Amino acid sequence: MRTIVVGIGNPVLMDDCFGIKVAEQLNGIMETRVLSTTGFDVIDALLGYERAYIIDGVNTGGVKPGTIMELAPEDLMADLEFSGTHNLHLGAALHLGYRLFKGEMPREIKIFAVEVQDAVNFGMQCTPAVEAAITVVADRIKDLSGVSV
Amino acid sequence: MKRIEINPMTRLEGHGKISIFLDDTGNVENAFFQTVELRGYERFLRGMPIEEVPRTVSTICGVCRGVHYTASVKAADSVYNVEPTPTARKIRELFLNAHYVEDHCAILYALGFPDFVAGPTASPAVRNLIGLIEIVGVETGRTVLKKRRSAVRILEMLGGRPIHPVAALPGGWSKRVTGEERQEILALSQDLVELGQMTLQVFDDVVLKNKGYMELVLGDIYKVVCNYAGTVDDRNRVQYYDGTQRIINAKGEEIGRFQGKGYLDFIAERVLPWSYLKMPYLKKIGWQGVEDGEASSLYCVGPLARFNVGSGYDTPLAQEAYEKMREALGKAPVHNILVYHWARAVELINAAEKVRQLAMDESITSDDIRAPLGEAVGEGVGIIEAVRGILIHHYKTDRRGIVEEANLIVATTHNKGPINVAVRRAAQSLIKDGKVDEGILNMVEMAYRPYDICLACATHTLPGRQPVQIDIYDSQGRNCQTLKNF
Repeated sequence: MRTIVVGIGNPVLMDDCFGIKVAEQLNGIMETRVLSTTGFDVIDALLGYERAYIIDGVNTGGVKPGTIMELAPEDLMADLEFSGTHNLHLGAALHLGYRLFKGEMPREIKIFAVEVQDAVNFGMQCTPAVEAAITVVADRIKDLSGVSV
Repeated sequence: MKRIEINPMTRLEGHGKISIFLDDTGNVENAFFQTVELRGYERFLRGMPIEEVPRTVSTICGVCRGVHYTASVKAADSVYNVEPTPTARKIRELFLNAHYVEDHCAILYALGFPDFVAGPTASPAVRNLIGLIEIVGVETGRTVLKKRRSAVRILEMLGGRPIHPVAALPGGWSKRVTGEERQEILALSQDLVELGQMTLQVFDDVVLKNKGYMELVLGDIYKVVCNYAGTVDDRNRVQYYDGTQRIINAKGEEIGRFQGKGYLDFIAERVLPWSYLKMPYLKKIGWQGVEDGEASSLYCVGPLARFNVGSGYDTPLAQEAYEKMREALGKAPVHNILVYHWARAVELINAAEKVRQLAMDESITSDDIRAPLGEAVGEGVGIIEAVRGILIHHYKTDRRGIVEEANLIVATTHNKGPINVAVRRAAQSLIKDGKVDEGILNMVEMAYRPYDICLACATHTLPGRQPVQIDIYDSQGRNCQTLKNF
């Protein structure tokens, strides 16, 4: 099954680089892509693949930093308000992708959202709890996609 | 006095809110566009080698990545006292124009058109891109996104990475364009030009042929009379990568021109107690408050400002579209801010044609892509026309080119005064006797959308969902309700 790993984040805002670091860890083992927005670029990255794993930080405030949440696209589609001028939020981008390119979008998408502690201050390393989740998520993706760990 | 807040501002980068203050009779007394983020990048850049700055500032915003990148590398040229080779300059221009196409496309279809296609008072449930697709058709949506993808592909080829580019160097560009790449870009440029033509047609069909919308576009609700600043060439044609920054007053008379560090002679910034974002004004006029009119010292930048400041565009299809605009709008500066979207559509095709022109030039494949660096002179200013307007990157460095001070003035900062006037005017026109419904509130929000606000870079923090708090005050100034999304 043709699979893509998409890591989303900002490389210089501490825990916001979580998705990028997971993608980097899987680079060379699987097809990976790094994005800094959740807009049209997400659709571009997914078209033509049968399966996708999307990794991003999240700030729910309700769980401990480093907590890993595995979500399906429908979990994000309840709110289709737009979050940016030209930057749809992930649920809206996926909804749009399926509406416009149904046959070309992955049949299977899993989203790994990891609770961040600090995605505001500058730094190229994650906080310890979030850092620890990088390998956990990378291994989980390898396991799910049948890549030997 | 009763206080109403529109928050979060849908479809905007970063975090901002509008507070509208009503008097005892329920009419608008005042309105403020507020931001609540702090600056960070200017401090973060201190201690960094100037050649590293472009790659770093491209992370300021995932949407504005190409413009910060280009302005900062021009500043780095200046720090090292070097002019990029002609080939490198062409590659940079190609890069910036491809960025214009993909950015303007996203802005128009995700931001501007939904208000018109679904109707300005439609529910937010349909007044968005997905609602737009349902109205204009899936096939149109597919075509727009696929053609926009062609612009992103060009950025990817030139910049070395799809999102945050890595190829720019002081004095040039690290990656030459091969003959095969030039042919591919040339083929892709056809998509871009078709996207531009299609977009002008959509604007024509949806807005220009709708009498009601045109009354809105040309009426007094969405009108801000101020000064304008934009970049032009020696024939006063609109330019994006390089040129002279020209300032005109509300009557169209030239106030002055500047380049590089000369911006300091024209632009002053006033700190306001209710926002972290400074409000620029024209130094030669002096601070006249947050007021528009012919005496105002506020100025605006961006597509409408470029349209007003310039005498046309340097490509045939864009010039044709410009002449059609002028015929409809007259020669004097246009102060109707919904015209921003029209000018944006014209610029989209202008940038697309420039991509095609540059790709047709075989010399762009030359391997002469980098000039030798001079001695670091300790200071550099890079100015470009970002998609949203004049973008200034100003750095001071030590003799090794290590950044000691950074000052970034972005389009949303230039536009802050006019945005406040626009929001206040729309609110005063639309909210009467305390009657506020969702449709009216959207029409107030339409007052800032033309400026294509990027609060993320305006406040120098990253875009994304930010904590939002809504405070509602009664007519006695008491906070009677607070709503939070965190």
